[in-house]
Amino acid sequence: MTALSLSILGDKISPSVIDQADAQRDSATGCLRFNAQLGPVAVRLLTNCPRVYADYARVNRSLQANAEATGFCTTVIVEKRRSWRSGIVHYHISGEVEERFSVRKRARVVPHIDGVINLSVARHLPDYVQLHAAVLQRGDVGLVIPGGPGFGKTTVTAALIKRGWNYASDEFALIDPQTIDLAPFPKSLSIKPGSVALLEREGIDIANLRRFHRADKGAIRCLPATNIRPNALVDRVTPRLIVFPQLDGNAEPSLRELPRGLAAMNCLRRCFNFGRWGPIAMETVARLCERCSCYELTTGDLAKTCELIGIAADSAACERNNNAEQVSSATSHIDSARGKRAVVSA
Amino acid sequence: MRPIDDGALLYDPVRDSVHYLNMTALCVWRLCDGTHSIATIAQELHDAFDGIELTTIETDVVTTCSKLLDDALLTLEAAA
Repeated sequence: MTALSLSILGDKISPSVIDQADAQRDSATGCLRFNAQLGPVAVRLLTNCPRVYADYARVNRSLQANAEATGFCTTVIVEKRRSWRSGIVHYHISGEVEERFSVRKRARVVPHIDGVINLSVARHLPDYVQLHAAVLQRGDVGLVIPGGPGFGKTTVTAALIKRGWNYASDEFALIDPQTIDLAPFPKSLSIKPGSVALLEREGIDIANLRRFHRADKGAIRCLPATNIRPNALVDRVTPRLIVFPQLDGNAEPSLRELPRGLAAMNCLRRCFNFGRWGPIAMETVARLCERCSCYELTTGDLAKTCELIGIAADSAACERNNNAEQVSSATSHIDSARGKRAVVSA
Repeated sequence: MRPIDDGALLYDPVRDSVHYLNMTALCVWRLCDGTHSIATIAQELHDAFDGIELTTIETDVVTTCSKLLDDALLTLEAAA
């Protein structure tokens, strides 16, 4: 591990930044240490910069862990250095094995910390098949929203949390291949400028959040789910509903049922670690889709979109309840005459 | 091959990739067993599907087989 100096290179440090009661020092390096627990992933941030510590702590306060990490742990090191030649300050961000990043503006540091954590999870977290997806839960209906950047996934996630859905993840759907349940990864939501006004109209306070900068999204606000609703975090999620969002600002929001095979294929396209799991990933995702109702959602108006998802969730819950009743009655009336046709019409 | 509801997922271990076949494509793929030609495959599907012209089915079978060949899910063998 890099030996970091504690010298604060000319920063004007407010006492409240470094005298926070929960600020810990790493015994090995003397750096400020922030421990967080994101589901099965323990995160340890080490930094010699109190302002970076304060930025990260403010965003991840609800995920802070007091105990030393057990299980899968990823360490991110942020070192602030001033060039002796030019006097220019750089922030160097690195994981234990991941690439190093070097940025000049502090506003870019927290998004890079998140990037290092995501890389570490995608490459090294064992035990889970990973999809690029948001995960939420309402009642006993777990919702998976697969999708990459620009599909409206994060905006819809924030709006659903406001409407009472509980939050598991905005980045990774961590699927247990044994149970098909989903583990949480409740990182803060990265809100782009174009979504701020939309979410403010939903009653979510975003304008007062500090701005950070991401290379792919521009200026963002990091919105902890607990800012939207204090008790929004959820533990394991049992999936019942998969919704693939398609952004179209001009379209009337609509839901279209998807064949499960097509849904599985769309999910596999979003699989971060397919190379590691191969046929097990295929089997896991197939089982996931067989367990769920699968839809393609064309999104336009945010409120209507959330309403449609709510309707789909109610339908998924009813289907599950009906299936449970059918199973109990079928034990005494099994229809063994039902066979399969070799050729099914297209 | 992993059957699912409305078709199947095929895993290609050589290319470490997955392909999705809907029910019709799966029927074509299953009939590509070394004993059927394009014509006989089309005829079998024509017998199973009501109301679709044989020529339409033949075109679809050719398209499907071309796609399966492109994705290395089929090989062509010369007739004996």
